[in-house]
Amino acid sequence: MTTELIEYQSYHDQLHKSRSFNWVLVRDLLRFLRKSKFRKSLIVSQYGYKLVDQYFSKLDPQEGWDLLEQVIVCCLDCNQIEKAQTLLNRLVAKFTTNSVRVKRLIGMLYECQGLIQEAINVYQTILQEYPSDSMSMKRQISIYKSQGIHNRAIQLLNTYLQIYMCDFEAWLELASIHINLLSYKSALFCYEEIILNAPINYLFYVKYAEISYSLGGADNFILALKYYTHSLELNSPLDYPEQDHPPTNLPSIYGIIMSIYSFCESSHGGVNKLKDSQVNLMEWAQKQLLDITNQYTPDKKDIVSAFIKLTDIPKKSTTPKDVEQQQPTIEK
Amino acid sequence: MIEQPIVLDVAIRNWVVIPILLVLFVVSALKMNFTKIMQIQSDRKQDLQKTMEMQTVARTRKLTAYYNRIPQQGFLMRKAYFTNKETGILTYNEPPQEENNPMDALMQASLMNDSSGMTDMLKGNVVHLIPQISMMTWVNHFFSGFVACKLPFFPLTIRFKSFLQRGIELSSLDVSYVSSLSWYFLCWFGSEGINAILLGENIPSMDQQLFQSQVDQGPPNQQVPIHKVYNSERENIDMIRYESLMDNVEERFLNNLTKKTTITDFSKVSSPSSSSSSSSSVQSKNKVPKRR
Amino acid sequence: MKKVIAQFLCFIGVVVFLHTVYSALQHRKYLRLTDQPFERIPNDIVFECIVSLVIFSWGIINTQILTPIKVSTHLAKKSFDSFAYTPNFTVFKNRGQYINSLLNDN
Repeated sequence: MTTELIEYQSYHDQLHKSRSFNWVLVRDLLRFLRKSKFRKSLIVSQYGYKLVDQYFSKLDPQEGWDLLEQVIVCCLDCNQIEKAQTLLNRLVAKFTTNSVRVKRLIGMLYECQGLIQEAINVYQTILQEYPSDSMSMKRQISIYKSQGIHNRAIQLLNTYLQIYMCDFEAWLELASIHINLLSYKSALFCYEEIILNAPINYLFYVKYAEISYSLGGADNFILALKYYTHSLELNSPLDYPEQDHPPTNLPSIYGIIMSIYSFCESSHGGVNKLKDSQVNLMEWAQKQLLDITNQYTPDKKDIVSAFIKLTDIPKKSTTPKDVEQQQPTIEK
Repeated sequence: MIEQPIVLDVAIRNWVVIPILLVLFVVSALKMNFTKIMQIQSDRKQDLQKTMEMQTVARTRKLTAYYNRIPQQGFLMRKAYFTNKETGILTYNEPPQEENNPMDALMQASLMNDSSGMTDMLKGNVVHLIPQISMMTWVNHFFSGFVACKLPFFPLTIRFKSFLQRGIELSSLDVSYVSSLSWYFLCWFGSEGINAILLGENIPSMDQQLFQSQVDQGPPNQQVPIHKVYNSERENIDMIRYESLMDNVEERFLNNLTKKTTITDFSKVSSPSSSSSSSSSVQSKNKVPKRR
Repeated sequence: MKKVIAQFLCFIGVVVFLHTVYSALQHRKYLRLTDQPFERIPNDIVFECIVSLVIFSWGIINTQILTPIKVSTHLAKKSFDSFAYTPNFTVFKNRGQYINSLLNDN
């Protein structure tokens, strides 16, 4: 059991080590990329093009056309327009330009070449025939985003989301546009929607906490702390003794340390406003960070311990008198 | 009742029992392919309004299910968006004909507006019914008048006799011996599971659906009128009493940890500090106003 | 438990089951020859059948690696990049096009 990054790395090494072209390996790699949703366009366009060009007959017929589409999109991503054009011609020959999928790919090709108006025309003709085709609406939105006209993109995306309220991907996109424009409050709203759609996934809680932390302010720091802790509940480094891959939720541990530290810094005597469980959590997080560093990357021990020392919070005061005056205390 | 088992001719097994099974299997395979082709060619019109309604309902369901994972502010915002008296999305105005004759309006609404959906349903029913009826008449015509097989183990009553032994005119025959028509029925009911295993391999897997390749089909026919669904969802949201999952998340997390881990020194570290701070914090909590 | 041992166990389970079938048939033949009524399968054959079931199930479970039941363990293995994946919104005007031409030249 390994993480997907490690698995991808092993595919990558195998691919570069082999002398001749191993089409089975390339096909498996493309399948893995579709499943794990990595964006490795250079590799796909290089090896996938050869696979689809010369070994197309050996592939499953149903899978072959899907693979072709995947390779075309990756070629467009790398700006290799001639390759994409040749593959697209094959698709047109098989499915003719009446097919909606082919039309979308033609639109994407125009986008990549910079012929924006033609691309918009293609998408609008699709929408006339199929008025609720979500893919064409999404492509129009990404055209505006690529031009840098973020306001128009947000407007279109909002109207799209009024119809397709549950479209998880669109909420992700809206959140990322808002983060680009530094409107963190709107991004928070989008991430709440995403959490409602996928409540088991630990990562969205981490992202929500990070946006909340970026907003700043004592309340937001505590909110961030709570969400970091919840994401640790879902994916803790101590979860399974048999876990034979490195812990993947380190951002939460760093996040706990940073949010408690920032909360204490943001107000005088902030330590005393923390609950006991939060202080205990801080100690646990610091210890956990040191343990993980010692186990997996011992050469970074110095940096990590310096970080922990820097972000350490003072001990809570024990005399109630000082607490009343709301001043930082020295422990007697 | 007869004690000795009747020995049936081997030819019955070869030419009746097995062929019925094979024919049933082949016909269901053909049916599956046929329905697939029909689905691709179905031209359910894509209606924006319908899609929007369905998505709204789905979103409210998610909200009622997972409201405790978002902060209270977010929940209240969404609640107001959905259930506000004037501008809430879920306050769908009922059509005026509803008061006159609900049945009439229902039928009218379902037939007139969604004729494309109705034809799809009819087509589906027809595809399933016609092979059924034709195979039954075929079995009845060719394979009647003799005992096909013996049902093991089931002590059925005499009342089933007329149904299971159609065509065999022996009143003293044990009910376990059945005609070929009942064998056909048995196979038909039982073949669903086997067909799913044998013929169900070409369901597209998730990664093939990744690029959202097919053109979205129009939403299927809605049986219940939409404003009733909206009303029930609105009541669900109104009934929710908000409680956040994040209220005592730190304590909960640490308690779960101490149960799970084998790191014993953690508990040694935490107990002295918590005991010392808890004695002071009892006094401090009375003095300092709570921020959360 | 090693995969080979588990497969061997599966094989044993199937063989024992076939043995019970054969012995049940032999039993019936014997009863028919001695004109005794056939009421039920004798206890030892039933016991042997259950034993074969247990052996076979244990072998089958151990021949394959079972996926853990918690969804979060499966999600924990994914990388952070894969979650923000919005393939329908890919923008083709990115830095990659200039870097790729440089790489190709090299």
